[in-house]
Amino acid sequence: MANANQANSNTADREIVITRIFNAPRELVYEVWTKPEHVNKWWGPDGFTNTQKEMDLKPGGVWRFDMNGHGMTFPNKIVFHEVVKNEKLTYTHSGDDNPNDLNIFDVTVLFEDVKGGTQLTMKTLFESAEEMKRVMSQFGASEGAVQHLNNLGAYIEEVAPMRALSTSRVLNFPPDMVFRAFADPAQLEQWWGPKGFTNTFRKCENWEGGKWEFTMHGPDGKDYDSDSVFVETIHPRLVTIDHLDWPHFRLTISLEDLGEKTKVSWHQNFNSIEERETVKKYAEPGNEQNLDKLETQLEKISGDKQLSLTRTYNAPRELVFKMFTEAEHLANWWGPKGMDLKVAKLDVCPGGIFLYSMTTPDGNEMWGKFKYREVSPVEQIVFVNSFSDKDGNDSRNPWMPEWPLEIYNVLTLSEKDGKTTINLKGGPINCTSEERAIFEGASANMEQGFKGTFDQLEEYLAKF
Amino acid sequence: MRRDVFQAIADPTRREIINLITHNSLNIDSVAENFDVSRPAISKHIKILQECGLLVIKQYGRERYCEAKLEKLNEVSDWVEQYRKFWTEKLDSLEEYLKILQAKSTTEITIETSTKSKSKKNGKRKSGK
Repeated sequence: MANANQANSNTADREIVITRIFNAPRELVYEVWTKPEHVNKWWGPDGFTNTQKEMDLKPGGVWRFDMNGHGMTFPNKIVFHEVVKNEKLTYTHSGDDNPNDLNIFDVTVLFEDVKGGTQLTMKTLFESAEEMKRVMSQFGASEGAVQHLNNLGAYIEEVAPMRALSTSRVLNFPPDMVFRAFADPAQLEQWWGPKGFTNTFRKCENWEGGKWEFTMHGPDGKDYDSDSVFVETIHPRLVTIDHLDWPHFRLTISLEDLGEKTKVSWHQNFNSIEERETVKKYAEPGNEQNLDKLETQLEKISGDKQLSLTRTYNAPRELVFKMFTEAEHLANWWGPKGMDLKVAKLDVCPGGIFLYSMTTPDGNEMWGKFKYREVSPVEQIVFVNSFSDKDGNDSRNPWMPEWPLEIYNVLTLSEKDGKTTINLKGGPINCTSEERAIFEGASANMEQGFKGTFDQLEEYLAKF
Repeated sequence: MRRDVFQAIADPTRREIINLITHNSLNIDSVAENFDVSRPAISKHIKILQECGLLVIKQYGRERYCEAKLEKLNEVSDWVEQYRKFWTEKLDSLEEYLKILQAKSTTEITIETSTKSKSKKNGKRKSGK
């Protein structure tokens, strides 16, 4: 109904605009709006059912259906003007082909990403203010439109499981260890993906907002690029990843502490039912194989003996937390005795760094670094510490080159009766390929009298 | 070039050499006999092991014997203990600093960090000490 637009450019008095936020991705909202098998299940106000006749979703395409309710059948004809997948639909809605049909209106439907899901805006434009009033009173159009969106909302809830692939498994390893297999890029690179796949990581920033870019090498010799972002990481409970390439999905992996065991719940929520259906055949077994590989990886590192230290301070938790997050405090206690510590950079947030220099009494300057991964005031800080150069690049321990390059630390704080107990768990991550090669070699070389020493060595190396 | 334990045992031949000499010192020829590679290649491996501190060469008369020094491997496996020491020092230092901070001015800390009721508690505990 282009003429309606031209006839009166001021639309305020002849347009109904309703918006609604749905807790679902754009792809899904668009999908259930544009596919007959879905539309049939929710379209229209309360008390109506639909009979689909034809739907040709393209500019100029026609969609016909009957709405059945109150003992009557109402024919509907929609002519699409703009069809922009997952973004926008415009169409003219009329009763039937009768040229004298008065119940004609233009509709614009917008699908937009907002916090918490998808905002749907439905604008219904009538030829005149009088026409709008007439249709509204005659058909209860305003109330009907609200019901229409309510029904859509209910249907979106109903189909939620149809876009998910879920599985779970109990692993014979504690959550801390399971989580480290995710948190350590070097480990993740080893076990991520279905059976027979290997990975080359380009970027793996396992913290909130961090990027994860890698290539998966399939057993068929094909390469698959993968581009994701870490939405949330909470040691040792939760990892949420958004997969940005097709198929789009949000993967939520939650770990439940069952004592020495962990229940891993794997929930892959595709952005649309179509995407899930397309990949289900290989994604479903793929997820199981991925968990198999995680289990194998955990067996490999089962000898992991990491540092765990607990201390209680006669100070409130807020204060102790500040000791690890504020420059003036860090400068006062973090540096070794007899050394002058200067804070060059302190950015306490996921992905932020604490870069500091220490000057020995004889004038030598050394640099150290924390990379914060998780900062949850005042309960937990997860950070990776390493030696560094002045530009913040990792470097070897100047006194002990065998020292791991990077150590992943989880500091938890709890308060009782005004005293704060802190626990620190630390273990190496991101060991070099050289170190990894040694680990593999060492395990293959468990022999005779050497065994004792290599037992110990393996325990150490198994941490990688 | 960096020489450390990791590098020393990264190579299967070098690991095998250490295996051979763990219990009995052997002269270089006897070591070389166990491998298909050339004697100069074995000498090179021995040299690397020596530089990494996993092997020493001792002269007995005309013969030079290779002897294993496995303490270095323990150094590696003791990593956790070393890290514990590192953090214990840090956390001791933190404790001292917290004491100084809280002794300096209880009220100052109160304003910065804590609620009134908490500061009162802390104050009492301090005075009771």
